[in-house]
This record gives sequence, structure tokens and C-alpha cells, in this order.
Amino acid sequence: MTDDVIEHLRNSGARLRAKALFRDPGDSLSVRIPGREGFLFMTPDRPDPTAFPFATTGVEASDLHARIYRSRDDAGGVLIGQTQWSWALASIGARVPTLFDEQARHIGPAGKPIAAGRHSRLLRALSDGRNVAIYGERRICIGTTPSRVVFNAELFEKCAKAFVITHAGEDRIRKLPLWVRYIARARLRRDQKRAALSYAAGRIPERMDAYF
Amino acid sequence: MKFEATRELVVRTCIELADGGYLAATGGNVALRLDQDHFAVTPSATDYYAMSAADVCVMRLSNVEKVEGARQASVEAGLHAGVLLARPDCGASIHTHQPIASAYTLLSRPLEVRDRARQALLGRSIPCVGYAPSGTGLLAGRVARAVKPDTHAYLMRNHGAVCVGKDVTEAMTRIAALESECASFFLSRTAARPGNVDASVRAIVIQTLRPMVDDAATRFDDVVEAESEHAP
Repeated sequence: MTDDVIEHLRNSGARLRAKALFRDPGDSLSVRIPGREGFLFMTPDRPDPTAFPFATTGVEASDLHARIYRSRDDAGGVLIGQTQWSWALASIGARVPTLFDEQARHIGPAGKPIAAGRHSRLLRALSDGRNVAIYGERRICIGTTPSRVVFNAELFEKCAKAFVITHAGEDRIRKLPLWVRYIARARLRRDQKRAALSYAAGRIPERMDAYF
Repeated sequence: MKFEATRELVVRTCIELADGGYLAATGGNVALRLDQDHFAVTPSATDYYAMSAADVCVMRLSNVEKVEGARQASVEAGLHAGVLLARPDCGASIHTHQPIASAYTLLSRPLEVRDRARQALLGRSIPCVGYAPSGTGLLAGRVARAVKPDTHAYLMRNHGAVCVGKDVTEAMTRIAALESECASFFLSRTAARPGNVDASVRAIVIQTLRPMVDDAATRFDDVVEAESEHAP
């Protein structure tokens, strides 16, 4: 099982690197090890995965990953890092609106940026099931599977870019209708419950990419 | 496997689109006409980098029924069928989640194409259809009603774009032309309204958009020139 998880992590890291979403020295990526109270962790400059228990504490990057896994039993992967768009969102400081169908379906509301170091505020925000937060100048992406965290990172990059570009042009934008966000959120919650049950049974959840 | 070569072309097109940043995650899809009655379409919610030709679905145009394919067809198969039926001159219908055109859909208004070369590729005015959820008959109907013979791109509010062409190459050129026209729109807006964001954010936006506009200046002129040379 661990060999499979190492492979998942390496593949996810390679794809994110190719898309310029995982290359900053401060970036970090991890995936849950099903059936174990721990996760595998890597950074762009140290691509050999290292295993950490969920009980990890301290000031290293792995500590924040551990805190997220402890608070989110559906999390199968976590990406923490900075892109120019996450930096721009932090600079703008506004709540990132839900703009696209697939953003509502797989990411949920991103909320307002949270100041770096406010761990408990971040974890409180993530506890409502949202899969993205702006924390300091970095974005935190959560996915129910190793591939879903990659997809969510790609999706959020597009959403962040669209929001910043329209914001810079002072254009009035139309948000996704409330009823669509409501239905999408219920479906996201359903997936997260299913993922948590799968991980509790020691398995990586399947079919986490459907729209409906 | 039926229509193997075209189904492989769907796979290669998706990878090219994903590498170019025109698809995000599993969003977006490609449909290619196979014959008078059938088209090939990407499977639903599939990682484009892991997709094989056998996963690509063969669909009947008249009723959007799957004829062959290892996976469930894209939820937008009905949208593509409507477009291909309305545009018998087109062999390719590609739905993208390209970031700049997707940003433009948030404004919920038509895109007036200013650049002469891009106008020749896309049409004078690109309609933006009203919001409807992904994969619904309502969205497919709205797009089908917007289709015109002299317009080759369509925007969908809070969603993305559809570009058509006689073949994949032409549709891909139009996807790039649409992205650069939208980049040109936002570049002029950002330059004209410096007060809304701080200078660093503004610089990021301008540095992202300007190369797309500058590259396009020669690229699409060349395409239009080449096409007019080959015109009967």
C-alpha cells in the first residue's frame, strides 16, 4: 500500500510542477497513507517522500499538514504553496467569490484570506468542508484523493486568475447563482463523507471526480 | 475499435489543450464529427493525461446515444451534438475552460472583437449565453440557439467557451484567438483603471496578458493571410 501511495505522491508532485503549481522552495505536498495515522510529505527541492504521523507537532511545514489531517478525516491530499495569483488574492484581501460550477462542486467557498500564523482560525475555516483557503500569501488546497488535490489546485488557479483579472479591470462580475452553490455544496459534502468512510476502512476513495 | 484514428486525435487534442492551459482539471471536452450520423466525444470526469482512445465515446448525433466507448460520455455531449447539427460545415466542437475567456464570461455580455485578424477567425461579436448548469439540456439549448454560420466561438456565463472549426486545427486556432481577444480586452481595462488594485497586482495582470496580445499580433495575421491565399 505504501508503495502505491509513494507513486501517487510522486505523480501528483510531477504534474503540479509541470503546471508551475509546485515549485516555490516553501511549497509542500502530502498524501494520506490509508490505514495508518500518517501521511507522506514532499517539497519541490526534496522530492523523496518522508512519512510523518498525524501527531506531528512543531514549526516545520509538515506540522500544518498534520493539523489539517487531524481536523479533516476526508482529506486525502494537501498542497500548501504560493503562486503569483495566491499572492495577488492575499494582497487584494477580499473574499474570493464562487464563480464557476466546478469551483462550487469541488472546492467550495474560499472565504477571506487568513493572516499567516493564525492556525486555529485557518482550521476553523477549513472545518466547514471548504477545500481551499488563502493563508498568508499561500493557498492551501485539500482533495479527497491524491489526484483530486491536483485537480483542485488547477481549478483554483483558474478561479484566482479570473477573479484577479476582473477585479483589476474594475469589472462588475456575476457570481454563480445561490441555488447552484447550495446543490454543489451538498454534493461536495456527500463526497467528503464517503471519502472519510473509505479512509476509516483503510482505502483510498474511488469516483471522486464526477460532476453529478 | 471503431473510428480509432479520430478517437486517438481526441486524446491528443485534449493533452494539447491541457498542456496549453485551456482545460482545468477534468473540465472541458472535445467533440469531433465522425460521419454524417456520429461524433466522438471525451468521457465524463476523466483525467486527460490518463485517457485512452478506447475511453473516447462514439455517439449518435440524432439522439446523443452512446454507440461505443469504455466510459460514460461527457455531460456536455448534448451541447456538442446541438452545435454540430447547427453547423454542418464544422467537424470540431471544443468546449474549454480557458482562463481569460472564462473570466470574460463573468461579465455576462457579448465580446465585440476589435482586432481585424481575430474578427476573421471568430466573427464580429461573440455571444455570451445566460447561465445554465453544466451538463443540462438548458445549457445545450441556449448554446444551440446562439449558433450562427458566421460566428465561430460562444461564451457561456460563469462557465467557459465553445469554439468550432472545420477541423481540430481550425478550432484550436480559434480557441487561441478567443483567449487573446479577451486578454486584449482586460489589458486595456487594467491599463485604463489603475486605481483598483495596488501596483504589484496590476503588474502581474499586465505581465500575464501582454504577451498573449503581443504574440497574437503576428500569429493570427499569418493564419488569416494563409487562409485567404488558399481560398477558392
